Amino acid sequence: MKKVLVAVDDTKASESVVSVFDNLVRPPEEVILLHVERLEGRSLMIDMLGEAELSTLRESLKGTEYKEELDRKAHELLNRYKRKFEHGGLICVKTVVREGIPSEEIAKVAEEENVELIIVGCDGKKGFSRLITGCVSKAVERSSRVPVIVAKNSVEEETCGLKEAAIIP
Amino acid sequence: MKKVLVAVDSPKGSKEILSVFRDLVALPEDVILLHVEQLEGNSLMTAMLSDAEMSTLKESLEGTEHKESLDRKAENVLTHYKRELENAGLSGVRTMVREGNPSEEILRAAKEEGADLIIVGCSGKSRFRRYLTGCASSEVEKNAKVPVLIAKGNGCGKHADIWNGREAYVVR
Repeated sequence: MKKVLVAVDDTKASESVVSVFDNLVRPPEEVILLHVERLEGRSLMIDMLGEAELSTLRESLKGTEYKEELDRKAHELLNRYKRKFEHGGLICVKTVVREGIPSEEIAKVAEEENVELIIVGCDGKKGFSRLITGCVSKAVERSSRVPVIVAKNSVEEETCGLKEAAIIP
Repeated sequence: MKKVLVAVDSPKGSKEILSVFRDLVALPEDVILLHVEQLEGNSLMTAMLSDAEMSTLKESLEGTEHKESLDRKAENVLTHYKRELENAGLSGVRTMVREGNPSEEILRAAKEEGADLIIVGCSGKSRFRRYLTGCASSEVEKNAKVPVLIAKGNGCGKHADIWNGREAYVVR
């Protein structure tokens, strides 16, 4: 395998992506490690923003303390994961930071970099919050043109039962 | 990797599944090929049936022509994939047929067999159809305890450009 895209955020669920390289996939020649900054925090808002609005938001945040904080966190996060991967024997790790809607940015970077596989963590949202705010891994799985691995934390507890679908109708 | 569960629905996706084994994942010792027979066809109904109703449905279909044609299809699909995988050099391929709700049966089989990875195809359904009938791959992805790989064909993601990021509207 040549190139794989790994998307991470600051949730615990992201840590599961590391274990995928332990024994499931073939070692890739290059890893693109991506973090998407969510400019609006964890609100519902972002899914409703159009391209124009999003770019206005981007402009208005430029140079603010808030944005600097996001950048600092992004670099910290990516360096932490980069070290983990390198520790596991993956040498060629390139880090990328983007801003905006995570699932869209992941799909965009995957296309630009021409990766063969996308790996994301399951963000562990359950029931109601998943229904309302959507789930990054699901949106990626849906819009991607290349295979997607949704990594799982082995310690995840039983809360996500099979009957969850019952909530939706 | 020890064991991988591959859920297959129709012979159409075999190219994608094969390329996953050729390029992406480590070679497993065991492969379990699973096909789930959807007893009621492609309707909405299956997600709404409880276990008791499902087993009544199962019993009433026993021996009917419909069930026989489902069994025939299952066998065709599974033999097709088994042959393709063995041609690609994989050994230890076992086939399995289940009946009922695909996502639930996939999860159950994965648990019983202790699979390290689940591989599912992408159905390529459009947003609207997916919303109505659900999608086995996203249900599996959501509830599985082990990593899930969603294999992709050319038809997949074709609705993405229109709908990307707008799903929240549709759901509510």
